[in-house]
Parts: sequence; C-alpha cells; structure tokens
Amino acid sequence: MRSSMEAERRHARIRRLEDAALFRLLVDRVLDYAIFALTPDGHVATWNQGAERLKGYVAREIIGQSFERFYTEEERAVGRPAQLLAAARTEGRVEDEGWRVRKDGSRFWADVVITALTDDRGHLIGYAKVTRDLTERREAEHDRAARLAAERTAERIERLQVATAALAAASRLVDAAEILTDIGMRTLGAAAAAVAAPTPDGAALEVLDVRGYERHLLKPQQRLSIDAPYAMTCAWRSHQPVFLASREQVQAAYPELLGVVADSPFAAWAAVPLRIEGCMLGILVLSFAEPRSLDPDERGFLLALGEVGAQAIDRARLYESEQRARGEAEAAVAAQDKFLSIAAHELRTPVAAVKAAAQLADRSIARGQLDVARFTRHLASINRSADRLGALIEDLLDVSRLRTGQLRLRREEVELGLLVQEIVGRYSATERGHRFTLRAPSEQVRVDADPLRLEQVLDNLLSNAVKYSPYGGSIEVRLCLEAEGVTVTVTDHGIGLPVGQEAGIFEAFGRGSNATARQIQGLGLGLAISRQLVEVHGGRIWAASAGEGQGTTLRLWLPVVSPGAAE
Amino acid sequence: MKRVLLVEDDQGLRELIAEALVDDGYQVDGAPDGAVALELAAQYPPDLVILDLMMPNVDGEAFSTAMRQLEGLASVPIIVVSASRYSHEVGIRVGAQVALRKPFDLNELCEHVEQFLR
Repeated sequence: MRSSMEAERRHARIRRLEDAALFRLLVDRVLDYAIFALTPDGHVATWNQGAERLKGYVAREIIGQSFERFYTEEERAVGRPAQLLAAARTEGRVEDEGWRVRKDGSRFWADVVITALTDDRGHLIGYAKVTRDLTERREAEHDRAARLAAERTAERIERLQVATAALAAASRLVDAAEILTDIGMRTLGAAAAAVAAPTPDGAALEVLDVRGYERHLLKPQQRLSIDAPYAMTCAWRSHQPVFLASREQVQAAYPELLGVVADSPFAAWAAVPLRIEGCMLGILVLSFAEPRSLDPDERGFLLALGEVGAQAIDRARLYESEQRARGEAEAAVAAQDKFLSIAAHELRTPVAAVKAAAQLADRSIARGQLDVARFTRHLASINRSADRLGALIEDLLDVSRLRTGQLRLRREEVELGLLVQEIVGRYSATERGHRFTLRAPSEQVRVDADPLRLEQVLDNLLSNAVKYSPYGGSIEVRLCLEAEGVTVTVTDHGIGLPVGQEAGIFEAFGRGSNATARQIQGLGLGLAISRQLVEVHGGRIWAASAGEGQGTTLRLWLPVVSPGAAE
Repeated sequence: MKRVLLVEDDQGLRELIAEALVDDGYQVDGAPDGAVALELAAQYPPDLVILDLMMPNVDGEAFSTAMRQLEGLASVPIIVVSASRYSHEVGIRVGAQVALRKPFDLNELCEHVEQFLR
C-alpha cells in the first residue's frame, strides 16, 4: 500500500515538471549550452542563461535581433547563416562546427545544432538552436597535433644527428651510402632506397647501395646513363629534388618517367641531390609502397640528409683517394726496394771476381810465383768483370730511368732498313757462326726514334736470338711494312720458351725458366729495357714460341713516319 | 791430397777460387750448380765444400740437405760464399761452419779452408 502512495506522489511531481513554465525554467537554467529559438526569418525569440554566458548578450538586448550577428564576417559575406537555416528547413536538422562571435567580438569554436520547429500541420514556426563551446576541446586537439608534430620533428632531428654521427665514421663510399639508404628508409617509412654517385666520366650514375628493389629493377654497381628516364637522373640533371607523390603526379609532372613507373611496384618516389657547396656528389632515392605526399617537414629532413650525405661522400672519396695514393706509393717503394736488392745482389758477384783476381795476383807476387802468362790471365779476368759490371750498371740505370720517366730521347728520323742491315752485319761477323737471313722491303722505312736507343733494342733482339740458339743456328730477320707501322721479326731455332712465359720475359729480372736452368748468363734486364724503350717510342714488343726447344720469335712494331710528313 | 768441392755458378769467379786453392795444394772439383755438385760429391767424396746459395736447378740449400744423406758426408764442413744479405742465416740453416758474403777476401777464404783441412 505504501509503495502505491509513493508512485502517486512521483506521478504528481512529473506532471508538475511537464508544466510548460517549468520546462522553460529548466532550459533557462542550463549553463553549458546556449539554447534559444529563432523565428522562421532568423530572429532570436528566446534566450537562456547558457546563451547569455556563452555569447555575452542579455535577453533583452538580443531578442528580436537577427542571429546572423553570431557568425563571422567572412561567413556572413558568403551567406552561410541563411544556408544553414535553409538546410535545417529541408533536412529538419543541421549540424555545424565553426567559429562564432561573442558580443565583445571575441571568437569561440562552436558545435551547433539547428532543428526546424513545425506545428501539428507541418508549418514552420521557427528553429531551435543549441550551441556548445568547443574552443577548449579544439585547442586541446590542436595541442596534441602540435605535440605530435613536434615529437616527429624531434625524432627526425635525432635521426639526422644519428646519421651525421654514423656518416662521420664512414670512411668508405659504400659505407656512407649504406647509412643514407638505411636512415632515409626508416625515417620516412619507404619500401626501398638507393644511393648513386656519378662515374668518373660523368656519363652515368653508379648505384653504390641499394635495398628493397628487386634485382631486375636496380642492383649494386648498376650504371644508369644520366640521360635515362629515372627519378634519380631527373634530380641529377636538374640539381633539384624530385618528389612524386603518386602515379598521377608522374603523369602530370614527369610524363617521360611513365614507362619506368609502369614497371615499378611502387606508388610514390622521392629523389634528392647529395650536394655540398653547390657541388652534386650523388642522389638518394626513396620509393614508397603507397601514394605518399611528403610534408614540408619531411622534405626538409630529406634535403638535410642529402647535405650531410654529401659531406660524408666527399670525405669518403678523399679518404679513398688518399688510401689509393698511399698504396701506390708503398708499392712503388717496395718495387724500388726489391729492384735495389736484386741489383746489389747481381753486382756482388762480378765485384767478387775483380777482388779475387786482384788478390790472386797479389798472392802470386808475395809467393814469388810471378809468371807473366798467369798475371795476364788475372788482368784479363779483372777486365772482363769490369766490363760486365759496367754493362750491368748501365742496364740498371736504364731500368731505373725508364721506371721514373727520366729517360730523355733524342728523336730524329731514322732509316730502319739501314740500321737493321748494319746490326745484322755486325752479328754475322762474330765467331759464333750463326747464319743470318735478312728480308726487307726495297723502299725506305723511316721511323721517328732515338737512333742510339733503337739500336739498343734491335741489338738486344739479335743478342737474345744468338744467346738462346745453338752455334751455327739460323736466324731470320724480317722487316714488314704495314699501313701505319713496321714490324721487325727476329726468329731463332733455339731453346724456345716454356708455354705461358712469353710475357714474363719482358718484366725486369724476368727470364725463361729453361734459360736459368741451362745456366745461360743473364739478368733478365735486356728485354725489359727494350719493351719500355719501344713503348716510349709508341710501339709494341712481344714474343711467341711454340714451346721449349721450338725456337723463339721476337716481334717489334713501330709507327712509321708517313711519306707525306717526310717530304 | 785433400779434396775441395767448389759449387759456384759464376764461371770466372769459380776459376779464380779454384786457382787459389790449387796453389795452396788442394784437389778442386768445380761445379756450376747443385745438381752437378751432387754427382761430383757422390763420385769424389769431398773433405770440404765451398757453396754458393743462389744457383739454378738445385740451389745451395737443397744441395746441402741431399749431400748430407750421402754415405760419409753427413758432417763434411761447408763454407758458404753468397751475395745474399741472408747468407749468414741460410748458412746456419745448411749447417755451414763459415758464411762469407761477396765480395769476399780471398785470403780469408783460404785461411778458413786451411783451418778445416790442416
């Protein structure tokens, strides 16, 4: 029974609240929302305390005024208030967010709902407008966005610092390139990246580091002609970054790239120059899996990365060229050391012979065994050794001068046919009894050469033929005139060369293994000197042999003086 | 008469050393390389070897190793005469008692020979 009485009382209370005046009071007391009615033509009809608090007007000031004054000038100018009312009328309800103006002219960010009010028959009798101030929430959102942006920027700056530190430690070009692709990819979330630098001739870009691309698209050491259509080469040619946010943008801005882009699994690209003090050192390219428009911050990051990358590449290049120069210098010193040690070694034996002969003569005198015939023999031995030493020193000096480029040629026009004839004649007269045949063209063969050096080379070819073939063997010498040069061929029928040793005999101290095995005297300098002498004359020298015991053919080619120039 | 095996690839120098040793009363067998020297050593066992190190075919080191295997030649004294800057080190390796470097003193060489063969 008691509960039914309570229910009765509750119903009475609800009926009291349903009373219109009471409901008005309720709306009036709401402070967090501006709730007011508008006439069909947009004039303020009612005003609650929330509206007064939000907009600053008291009821008597604003009732009867147009609601347009709540809008900003810009929105009034484009007829925004009327549009909203029209929309509310047709849709029944419209929601809007935007700046609204208070009585004092200050602005707040408002969330507005306008509802059309109709009577029982559907005639418009006005609008209900509920406005909420979202300024604080909006500011909080802005703050969050700004904080996120700041965090992203800070992160990029940190990545840039990490990159700078890592790049500073990179001493090789490929290391610097690897760091660039890695940082670029990770920071901007690219699916693939590559770094390329120009080839020495500047005609192409060579890929230094690459990741994320299929090998048929781009691989290490691949060379792209700078005229080829790629984002990389576009950036290289223009010295400007190339940002391609989507395939559509490629079509609009770089139609020449469409062919390449068609085959690419990627959807957006960025290529930035690696540039230092205006000097282009390379390109960093990033490819994205999805269309991607880089914001100014991200572009700034890439350009900055390009700059520190260029510094690193510059440094690495310097370091590498220094290393190379040092390596070459060390190799030259080592070669010089080896040369000196072999040279000194080879000089010791003839010096020992001179000394031994002199001491032997001394001993004979001391022992009273002085015998003219013996004494003469010792003197002859000293003489021979001294001659050998002299020739050896001359050869060693030649090798050294040729190696350091200090050999001076006194070039003049030389008639090669005559010179060859003279030298062959000289050799024919020696006691070793080799039989020479000489075949030469009837016309003159003129070469521009140092006659003494040319004689030295020809003499060396013939002395080799004599030295490495049996007494009485036949040696053929032939001169062959060609279009632009002349070939001198010296063929013997001697010990030949073991297979594969044809080139080695032209190296300093290089000799055929069969020559040393047979104890044929020689240092292995003559042909090395000849080769270098021929090369400084713009010619070539080479050897051929069918193998050990098959004889050797030495060939010399020299450019001839053209008949026109000679006359 | 004591026998000296002289292994030296330079013919002129070989003849000069041989002449000095003959003057001093030794029998000298000259060899231009290690291979010939080995044949001579087997045929005419030497009382002393004068050995160059750098020679074609069988060099001084290979020769001394092979010679020491020959009957009665395990402890024949060796005098190394070489142009090599390492003649001393290699000399020790081949078990030489003396190592001289070219150009050497002929009297000094003969004195060493005399010490061993007296």
